[in-house]
Amino acid sequence: MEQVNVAIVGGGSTGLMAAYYLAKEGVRGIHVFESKYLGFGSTGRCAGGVRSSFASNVHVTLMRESIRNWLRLKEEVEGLEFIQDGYLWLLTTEELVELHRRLAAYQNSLGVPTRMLSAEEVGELVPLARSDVLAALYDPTAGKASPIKFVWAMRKKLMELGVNIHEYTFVRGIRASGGKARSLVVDESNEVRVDDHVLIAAGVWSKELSRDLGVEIPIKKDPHHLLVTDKYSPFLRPLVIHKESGSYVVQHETGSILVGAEFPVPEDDTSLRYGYLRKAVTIMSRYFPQILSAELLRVWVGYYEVTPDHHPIVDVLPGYENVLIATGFSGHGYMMAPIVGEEITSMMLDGRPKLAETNELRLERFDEGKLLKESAIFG
Amino acid sequence: MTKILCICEEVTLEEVERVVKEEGIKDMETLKRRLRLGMGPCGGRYCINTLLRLYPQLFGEPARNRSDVELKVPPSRPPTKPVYLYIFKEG
Ligand SMILES: Cc1cc2nc3c(=O)[nH]c(=O)nc-3n(C[C@H](O)[C@H](O)[C@H](O)COP(=O)(O)OP(=O)(O)OC[C@H]3O[C@@H](n4cnc5c(N)ncnc54)[C@H](O)[C@@H]3O)c2cc1C
Ligand code: FES
Repeated sequence: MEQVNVAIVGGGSTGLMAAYYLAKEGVRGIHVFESKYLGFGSTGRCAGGVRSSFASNVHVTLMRESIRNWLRLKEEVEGLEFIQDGYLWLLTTEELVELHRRLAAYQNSLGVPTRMLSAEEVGELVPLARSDVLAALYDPTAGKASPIKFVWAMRKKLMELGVNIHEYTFVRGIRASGGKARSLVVDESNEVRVDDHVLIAAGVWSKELSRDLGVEIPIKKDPHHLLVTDKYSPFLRPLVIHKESGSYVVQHETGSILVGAEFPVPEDDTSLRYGYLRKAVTIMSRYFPQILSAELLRVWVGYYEVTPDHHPIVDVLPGYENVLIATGFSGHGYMMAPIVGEEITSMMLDGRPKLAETNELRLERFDEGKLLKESAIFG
Repeated sequence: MTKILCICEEVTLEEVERVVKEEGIKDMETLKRRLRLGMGPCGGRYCINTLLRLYPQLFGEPARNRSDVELKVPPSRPPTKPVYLYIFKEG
């Protein structure tokens, strides 16, 4: 039987980052199992936005630390990009302006230097056409990181660090006895012995793997569309969100423009909706009519992995001391992966995470009804 | 002489051969994402077919009589041709 020390199930941002921080700590025998190609899940379909301007202590703190890691990763990993061009939240009602004034003060108190901009200042930062913007919240520490570049840069780096990556390898189940995972059943029936830890980082599919071990995790699939255009010369540096509708636009380093919109569809429905295209284009083109002359190349649907309180699950799987789980990141698991990967590493090596906030991401909060609160959950 | 495989994304045959060899890439899906080959405005109409013809040479396996799924030929995503975003604008 094949033997591994650490088995990571899932080759998305979470699994890749956990593999990276473990390898950096000198852990050997790390194996990543990905049922398709790396980035097949939500990671390869995301917008690549990175920010710490959230509305809960847990999110702000973890993301503040994650951005520190993004900056270091950029130095450590060839080909990985993180462009700190900021996030801009366009505010079109008095209530939103007031709410964001308070949010900025809250974020500042946690060390995130967000600030309010007047409509005029917004116009200096981005080529804004429409005048119903009353003010905006600006997060200068936020930025964008192309998920495609991330995946390939990490693949190469992990291989250099001696991590074993098994693509097109499906983990059918986890075999456990005496409160510990002992092996994985891979593809048809290959058994792989696990000597140390298993990490379930399988995105929305983590539910099936944990259910197999008798643990129900409360995550739902929440399909979201995204579109990408051809490449154009840079016209927009920050990622811009129209807060009232939740629509957003970002232009990546390559020149491609992505436009997202909130367009709710049933949990398992990944069909493409014309209504999404209409909504995304109609709203964002009011502010940036430039996008109308851009050519649409592709549209797709990916999942947000949503928990009842819109906060992730980062925990030891109850009843299994050597199985960890990290999922339920809503629309921000990509940006958070660098800190989550580092915390998973601490949990495996020292038995606990480095940050107190990570302890709040335990599964037991759902049983105890101690849900976390968040009000700014976009892109 | 440089041979361009993907005109849209300017990917050369040399580059394809290099990543297959050096990075252990064994399939077309991964290759597409690694080099952006097939992700340009033509949606891979030109380069994916060329790549299929080169399959045996690149991956050391035959491609004849095997399904797209087996060969991991990237599925094309809509739209089949680029369209201006203004056609979706309401009002
Ligand atoms: C349209 C859209 C826009 C988004 N925008 C952003 C954004 O701007 N910023 C941000 O931070 N986040 C964003 N997100 C959310 C983000 O994409 C996810 O939270 C994040 O990618 C989750 O990463 P993950 O590694 O946990 O899961 P995934 O990326 O889903 O990876 C899980 C992997 O596990 C594999 N897998 C599953 N089951 C098995 C099995 N049994 N055996 C082997 N492998 C298995 C899957 O194939 C998959 O590749 C967006 C999401 C969408 C859909
Ligand atoms: S030639 Fe490769 S995408 Fe057009």
